[in-house]
Amino acid sequence: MRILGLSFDYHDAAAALVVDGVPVAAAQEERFTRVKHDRRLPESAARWCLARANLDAGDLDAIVFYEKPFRKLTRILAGSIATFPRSAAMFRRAAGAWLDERLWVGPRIERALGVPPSKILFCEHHLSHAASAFFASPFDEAAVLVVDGVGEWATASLGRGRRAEGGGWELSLDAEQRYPHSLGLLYSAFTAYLGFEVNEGEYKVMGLAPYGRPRFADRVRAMLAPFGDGSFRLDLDWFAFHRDPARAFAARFEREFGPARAPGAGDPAEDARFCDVAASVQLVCEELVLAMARQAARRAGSKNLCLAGGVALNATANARLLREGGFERIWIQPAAGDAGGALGAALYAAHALGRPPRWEMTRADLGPEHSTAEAADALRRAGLAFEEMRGEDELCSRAAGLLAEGKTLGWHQGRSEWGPRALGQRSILADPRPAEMKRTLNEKIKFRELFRPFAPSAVEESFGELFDAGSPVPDAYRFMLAVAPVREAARARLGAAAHVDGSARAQLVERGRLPLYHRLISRFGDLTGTAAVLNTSFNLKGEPIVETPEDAIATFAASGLDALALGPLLVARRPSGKTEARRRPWAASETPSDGWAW
Amino acid sequence: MGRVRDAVRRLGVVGELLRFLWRERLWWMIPLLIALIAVGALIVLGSSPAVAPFVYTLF
Amino acid sequence: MESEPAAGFFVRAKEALARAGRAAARAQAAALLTLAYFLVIGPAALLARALGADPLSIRRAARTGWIARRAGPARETLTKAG
Repeated sequence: MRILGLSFDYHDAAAALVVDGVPVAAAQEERFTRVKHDRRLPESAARWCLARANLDAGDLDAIVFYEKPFRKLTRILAGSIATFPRSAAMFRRAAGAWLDERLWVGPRIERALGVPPSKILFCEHHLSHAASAFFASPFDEAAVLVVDGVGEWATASLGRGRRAEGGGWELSLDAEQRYPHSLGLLYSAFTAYLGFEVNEGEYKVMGLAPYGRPRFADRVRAMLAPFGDGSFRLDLDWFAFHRDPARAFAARFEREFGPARAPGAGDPAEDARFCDVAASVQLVCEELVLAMARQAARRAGSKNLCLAGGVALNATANARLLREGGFERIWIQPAAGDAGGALGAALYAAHALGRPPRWEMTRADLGPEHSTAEAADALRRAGLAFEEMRGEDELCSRAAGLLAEGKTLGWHQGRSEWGPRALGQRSILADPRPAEMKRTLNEKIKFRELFRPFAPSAVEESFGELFDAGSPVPDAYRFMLAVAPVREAARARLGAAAHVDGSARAQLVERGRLPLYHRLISRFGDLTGTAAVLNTSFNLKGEPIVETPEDAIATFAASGLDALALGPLLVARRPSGKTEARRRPWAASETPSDGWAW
Repeated sequence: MGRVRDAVRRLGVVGELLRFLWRERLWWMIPLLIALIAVGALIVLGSSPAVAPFVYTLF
Repeated sequence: MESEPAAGFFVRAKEALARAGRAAARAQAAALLTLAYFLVIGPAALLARALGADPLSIRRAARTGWIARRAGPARETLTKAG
């Protein structure tokens, strides 16, 4: 059975193709259109998925949209009624978008892909998230927790997955907390207050938190009145996201916490107040995720947990869940945000309509790959001199040598990653030892805020010696979904990777799962005694991660990267002075992103 | 032709939506949505140049 | 370019006209939607308030925020947009 899952219209549009229960292709639309967080109907991604499997749209058994649009519309209407007369502007934008586009999801898919209405299915938002975790996990039975901003009505859901009596597997969500009482939207309100972009800057709040003390935690707890079982009621006096299209938090925020940080203002890490606010909301977020997970476990009676939804990308909360949650094993979908809904919707339909075998997601590289010939053409067109390595051994030796010399390397290999993290296929790599490498990477390439650390990738043989993540190393570390304390003895060797609190969002690299990346890091270890590298996504600030060799070359040219490896082709040095910055006019999102969930 | 088919298909979606509201016992939303969709239709008509002059005279 | 100044003028004029048309359509849509907000949502909101409805569960009365979910058969549920 061939099922295409689609997510779009909110942010991070994506397509995923599942054939007989196995995802054969999945990618975000932004990687093709180069519009960051592109939310339009993912035609390019969908067509690529079909081409990858040699299929036409007519060969599909079903196309599944990751939400129930009608249910979402009832929430928007109910919200408008509850907030009248303060929500006129919100209503104008929401109703405009719905009447113009969102109501017509079915006909739009039919027109774009040429399929009959009978083949179009709709999977609830949180069920899509839940399926993206459970049906990609190794578990026969597990508790399931979904936490995000909001889907149709649900903002958090508890459920379970297990073997069905008549064979196959069943997944159900048994309880939900509803809009506007949302942990994701609460976190986003603080993201906006701290001057970062909603649906994008949440990582920055998490990164800022370790600089502060959670001295406002009681005030944050007071604004959400927890019931003690993970659920809560937001006090809407503090918020505006439910009635204002341009503001997430109400005036009361500034009365209690002081003036908000202006977007783009100076280094927030130098202002203790902002750091303390970030630390406070992060702490409360962790407490709630823990309480919700315990509730999910209690209801499902399981020692395993599957986790998805945007909040599941909070690596610090995940680390606490791993340490304190009391679970035997936790599995988190790497594309836990809305893009992942495309994969989940397709997996859910595959298991609802048929009896496919279970599939465990052990690698994240479900995206497009590009041939060496394509890469060579692109390099020639760009006028870059390159050498072709004879086999992986030479490639890894040369690349490790460059890294050991302190060079920064663009590493473009194989199929691109599913989810927001670069995991060794579209990565910028560097030496993790010198602390100043963080500054070098930031100022020459990433152009991002200096307070944010870079993540290290370490091979399985040395992971335990560098990080205190427990043994066996939890699955979450494979996909960079949790932070771990850097061991005291290793601090000096990971000067650029350790955050101010001594933690790092480490990636576990196993020989059996990522052989090429494993070999590269091992070779670097042979040369330097530290079998770990800095790994940051291959993109410039504000741009999607590179997809094609052309994208990689454009980023190489526009940044201060020292070297570039496209498959076996190595550009070992920058041409002296003569590459002009052939930077594409990357578009920012064409329409402003819909911050508040309509 | 395409436009007519598209309009028919959209009417089908509206029918589905009303059936959904009925099933969910959200009767009170039905008049609201019919009114809003009528506004939507007016907007669509208003933005197509051929009809615009007539729509403007409505106000 | 210089040989066809008139054509250039017409192209520009046409573009300007189209831009103005789009702006007018946007303004009209905004006006209609504002009208709908006050004439359609407004009365419904006043009525809902008079009847004491709480569509966003803002009042804190319950002892938990978890609401039980009912689910139909998966296969059938999937076919519906709502």
